[in-house]
Amino acid sequence: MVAPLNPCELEIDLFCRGVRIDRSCSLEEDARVFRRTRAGLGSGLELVLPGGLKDIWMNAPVEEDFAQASPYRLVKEGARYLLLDERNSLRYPVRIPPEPAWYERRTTLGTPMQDVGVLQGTYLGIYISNSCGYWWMRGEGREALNCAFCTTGYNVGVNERVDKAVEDVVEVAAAAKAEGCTFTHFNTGFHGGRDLEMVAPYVAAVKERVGQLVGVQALPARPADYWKYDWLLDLGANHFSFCWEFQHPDWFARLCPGKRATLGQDAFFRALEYCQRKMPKGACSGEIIAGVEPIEWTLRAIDYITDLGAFPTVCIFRPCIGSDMEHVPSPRSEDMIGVMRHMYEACRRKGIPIGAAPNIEVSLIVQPDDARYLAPRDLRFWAQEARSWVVRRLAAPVFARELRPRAPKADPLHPPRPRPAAA
Amino acid sequence: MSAVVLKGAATPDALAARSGGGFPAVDALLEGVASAPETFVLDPGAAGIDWSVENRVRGLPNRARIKCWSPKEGTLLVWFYKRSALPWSVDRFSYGGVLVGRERVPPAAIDAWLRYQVGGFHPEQRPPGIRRSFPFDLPA
Ligand code: SF4
Repeated sequence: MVAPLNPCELEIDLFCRGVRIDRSCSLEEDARVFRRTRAGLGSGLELVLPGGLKDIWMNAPVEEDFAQASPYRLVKEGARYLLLDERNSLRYPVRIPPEPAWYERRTTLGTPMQDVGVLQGTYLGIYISNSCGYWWMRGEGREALNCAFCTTGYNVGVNERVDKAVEDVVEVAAAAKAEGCTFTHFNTGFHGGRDLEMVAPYVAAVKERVGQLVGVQALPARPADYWKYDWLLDLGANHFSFCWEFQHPDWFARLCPGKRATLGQDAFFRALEYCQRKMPKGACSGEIIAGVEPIEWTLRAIDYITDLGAFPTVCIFRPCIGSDMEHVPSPRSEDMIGVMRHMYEACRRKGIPIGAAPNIEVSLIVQPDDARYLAPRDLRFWAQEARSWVVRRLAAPVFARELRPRAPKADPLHPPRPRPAAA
Repeated sequence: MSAVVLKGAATPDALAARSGGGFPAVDALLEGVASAPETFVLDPGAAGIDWSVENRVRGLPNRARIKCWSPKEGTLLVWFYKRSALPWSVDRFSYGGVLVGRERVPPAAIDAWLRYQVGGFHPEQRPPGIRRSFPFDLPA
């Protein structure tokens, strides 16, 4: 008899194989609407895989062709959902997180709230502009310098607001917080080096008027502009993430031509090093995609990130429908299990806090605390569990303070140094 | 124009009228469809002229679609897209499109558009000159 997968193994297998939806399901009533934010990654079905150590939130691929051939079928029996693995008839109970009540509401300005931000797992993701300059940049014989896995540049009409009003963002963040959301993450594409100035008013407003943990994911500043990170810290930013996606320089250059042409891979490393030095362990993250470049390079990336004291955000490659890499096969689950186990071990060995922040479940990636399921249950495992428990207790008052609204220590509209001349 | 161009099609004139009428690119596309070895299937319920192709790509049914639709007088959009795999979803995945006027489009371009569809929108077959976004919403 085949042993059932543990929740993290199941999460990884679902990322790699996707899910087919049975006719018995009524997801149009039971599930969140699908939103294609974050380079197309959010196009899947939000699922919760229950487990003893923790419940795992994930965004399972359902639209891509590989998902149409998946052995997993989501079925509804009575009011319950379960995943049926047709290779071995194993059945896994799952939960479908309902749509947050605020998705149906409008802001005071009349904007549909779900056009402003989207819940990805339990955090609020806000793409502050739905454009990215790489999609409009030609060069090297290419019509565009977009990242090959991304779909951001293709729009059918406008499915998100182009420029988001600060007022709208504040109202949506407040609505999400009222339903338990603790973290708002601002995300941008390439805006010619003005990305951090663009994000500043949003960071300050959410910190001052809502009181949430706030993260920023933007392309790295040039060293001469690192003061912008200090400024954002004064405005209340709690987290910076840097996505160089591929550790091998050739894979980075080939699949992220815009990032290579405008910044280079080193810019990501230096900015992460600068920010992580200024912030508590695990407050910054390096983001990479596993399953495209040779695995040893992904492991090397995880080691580099954790050596800095930063948090590894490892995304399993999804050949998103509509992207230039749509026809590339998704990776093998066995390989990805090895990567995620390595990620957990690296965090454990280097003392990167795992699962310390309250109620932050990121559905687009395998989180290091999801990967606890992959570790052998030996003494080291239980010692790590005990350490994590202590860290959570010690960090609780710090996070409680961060979740209270507070005035920023800087002016979000007037950076401490002159803005660079427009390109 | 060939009499039988798309499975499920109405008369050629009625068909051409669905895209606004009078676009040589539409006539050329429909001729290309008629002479292609694959079977193309019209969706009579969709806006404009909208068709899929009955072949398989890497073992799975090809989801690539072309829609010819006129956003304004004298302009035609030849749009490449896929529909959601989920039966209740109205989501669409765009692969961009080409805006043309009433000029003649070279046969090589017409052929490239149809081969792009038959190949399931493989990036290596992407025809030149595709625009990725449009200043208007596209009807279903
Ligand atoms: S930086 Fe790359 S991944 Fe991000 S939006 Fe631009 S093209 Fe997409």
